[in-house]
Amino acid sequence: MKKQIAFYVGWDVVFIFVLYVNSTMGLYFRKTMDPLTLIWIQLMLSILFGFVIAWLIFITNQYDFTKKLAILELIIIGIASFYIAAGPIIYYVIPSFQMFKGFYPDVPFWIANGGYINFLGAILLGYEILIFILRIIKIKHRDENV
Amino acid sequence: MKKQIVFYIVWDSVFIIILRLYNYCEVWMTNYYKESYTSETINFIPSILMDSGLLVIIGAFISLLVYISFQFKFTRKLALVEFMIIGITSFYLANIKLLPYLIIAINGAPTSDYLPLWLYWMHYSRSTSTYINVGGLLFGYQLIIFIIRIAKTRDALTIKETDIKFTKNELS
Repeated sequence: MKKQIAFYVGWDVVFIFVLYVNSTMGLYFRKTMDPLTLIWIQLMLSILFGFVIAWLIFITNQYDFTKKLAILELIIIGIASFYIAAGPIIYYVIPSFQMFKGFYPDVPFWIANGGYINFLGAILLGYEILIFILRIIKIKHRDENV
Repeated sequence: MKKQIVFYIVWDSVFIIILRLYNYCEVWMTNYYKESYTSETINFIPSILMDSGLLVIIGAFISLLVYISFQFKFTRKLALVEFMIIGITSFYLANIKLLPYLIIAINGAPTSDYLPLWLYWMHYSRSTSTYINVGGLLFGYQLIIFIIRIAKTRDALTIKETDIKFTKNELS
């Protein structure tokens, strides 16, 4: 179990680091590059993130899942992706409600205005939620048959 | 094999339908803002929530592909079939912004001369950059998983060959 937790945490750190590098480099690229090069960079980055997610999927599919491990994956990867996906909602939407007036959440600028970063977070969150449900169903089915 | 091919084609079709729905929602949201633009402030909350919700649905749909396809027993042929069916669609999606440049470079005419009408929504809408991102992401995933699967089947084949050699030696 420790090995799996270490992998999830490590993957999360790598993912957030790549996102951060992407957002800081993106600002530099937008100022210096022409539109066609920007399209190429956007394409290459999307493929790179596909590689990173494939890495997570491939390794986790080799694990023998228990309920505990499935919940752990949802917590470690799911919460990070939820925070990234909901950055603009936490930063802009919550303070707009009357009951939260005067409350300004401390969300980093690159997450609150991410665009592409929020897109990735939402996709990963959707993946994690459904795969968690499917795994729990599979585990229940397996336990019933035993 | 037929079952798997049908699954991939159906998944691809539903995926395109979901992207089309995403486009409809974006158009509806744009019209809503145009109509309700009366005061100095605009309420962006519905737009942010809807966009995030739709992306979560797309992510969930990708996880369905991952979950079901990981239950198949892969041969080289099946890995290639998955890469051809899902990979080519995602590659097309990833390149929809580059396509006009490519066509102009080859033929000197804009894409609109070649593009069928039913594909316009994919190329010329506010959601185009989302399609590129989703397509690129899915293509990256498909590419790496295809390489891993081919390497795995190759390993399995070499193990079988060594087993045969062993048994032959034992027999002789």
